[in-house]
Amino acid sequence: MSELRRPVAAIGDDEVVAELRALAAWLDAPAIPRAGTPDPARRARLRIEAGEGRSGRAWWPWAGGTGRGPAWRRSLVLAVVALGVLAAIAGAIGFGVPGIRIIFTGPTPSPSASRQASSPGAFSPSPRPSPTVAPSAGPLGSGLDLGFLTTPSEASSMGGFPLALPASSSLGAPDTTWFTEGRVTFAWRTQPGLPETRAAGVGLLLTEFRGSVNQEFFEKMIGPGSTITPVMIGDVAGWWISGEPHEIVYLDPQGEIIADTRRVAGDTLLWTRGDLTFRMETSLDRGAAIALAETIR
Amino acid sequence: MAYEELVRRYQDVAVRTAHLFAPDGDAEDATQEAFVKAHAALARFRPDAPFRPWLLRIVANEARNRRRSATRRVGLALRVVEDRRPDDAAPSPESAVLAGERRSDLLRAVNGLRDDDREVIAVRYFLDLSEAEAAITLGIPRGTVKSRLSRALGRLRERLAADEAEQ
Repeated sequence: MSELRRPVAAIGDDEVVAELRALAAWLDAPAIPRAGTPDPARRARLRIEAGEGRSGRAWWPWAGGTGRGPAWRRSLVLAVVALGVLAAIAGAIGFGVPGIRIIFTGPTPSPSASRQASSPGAFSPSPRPSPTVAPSAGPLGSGLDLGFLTTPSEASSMGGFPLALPASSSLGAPDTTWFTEGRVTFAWRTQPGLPETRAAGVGLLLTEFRGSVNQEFFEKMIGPGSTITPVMIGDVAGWWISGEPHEIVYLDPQGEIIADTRRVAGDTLLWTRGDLTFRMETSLDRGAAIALAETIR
Repeated sequence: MAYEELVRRYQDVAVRTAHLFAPDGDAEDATQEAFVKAHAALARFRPDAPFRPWLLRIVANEARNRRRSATRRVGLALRVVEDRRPDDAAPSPESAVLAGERRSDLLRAVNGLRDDDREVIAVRYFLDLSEAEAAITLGIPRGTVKSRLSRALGRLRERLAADEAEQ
């Protein structure tokens, strides 16, 4: 390319421009979307539907994206709604809208003190990563408020829905199955590829229940150290919740408030498929958790 | 959601814009943020105006903000892909004749330019925007695009000449 090596003084602007245009094809560019995440257009849509016009980090309501009114006004309305919901929960008043609310209560909501006192081996609120649930005598998952021990077939009949399990053969069958108030929880022991959660000995928790994530009424409060990230699990939208412990409050199909007071053992992936909501808790990273969740059938 | 489909049409150029304006920023994240902000600003978009440069202006501003907030400027530079992956489109014949050494000289000179000089070169020649689109994207009058581009090319030539003198 000897002619291109001519001194720059000897070539015209046109040639410099042609070289610049040619250079464009050689510039590195980020590949989108990153593996395991929705593309920016989808993520923006999820955030817009969540009513987020301005990025408030202290707390951040989610709701439908029907595009009515300016984003700040929708956020404000949702803030009021969220406070109302909190008041309703505090007063144990019903709220007849199906959906799920994630309430980030930060480390150790005060009611847990009494639960801890009355429940030896219950979750204690130390920061991660050290396991803070003492290995308890009894079946895997004891002391996590998962309900009572049962079998998969009994759980399915009590819950009234077919159970779905990860297809991953390396994972194997769940070690224990628990049931409470319409929620089935499977627990797997720590094993290679399944690091320990905050609950000693527990590698994975998968909870399934009837209910749907209704984005119109999906709200969250986020505490310092908690993050919630919209993700895609296959072709359905979900949320990856990491950081400080949180509790999930949801409404069952009858519109009754169910406060899921059980202690959070790890980062949480939450999604809805059909009329079932799935909640997976794990110490896997987000990508691995999503990959595992996508095998659930 | 129609908006998602709308912005997805411009997603590739938006990410490239964010990357050109802030090479070591998170272009994908900046793009997502810009899409959210653009949605909030839709009321201010004139329907008779072209959408692409309007959107790219928001992307460019978002990327610039991230660039300014970066505490260190080390490594804030565009790079060439030396080993193209097999799935990449083959470079055009014109770009193939741009020899590797010349590419790196040129890129070094571009990276050495002031931000506003580099930006005008990037939108006109790397993104291949028209002068009118460049004006909207950069938020400056069309005449300024012209004069800034001519000044930027002049400074680029000076850098290239200085490089040659050193070799």
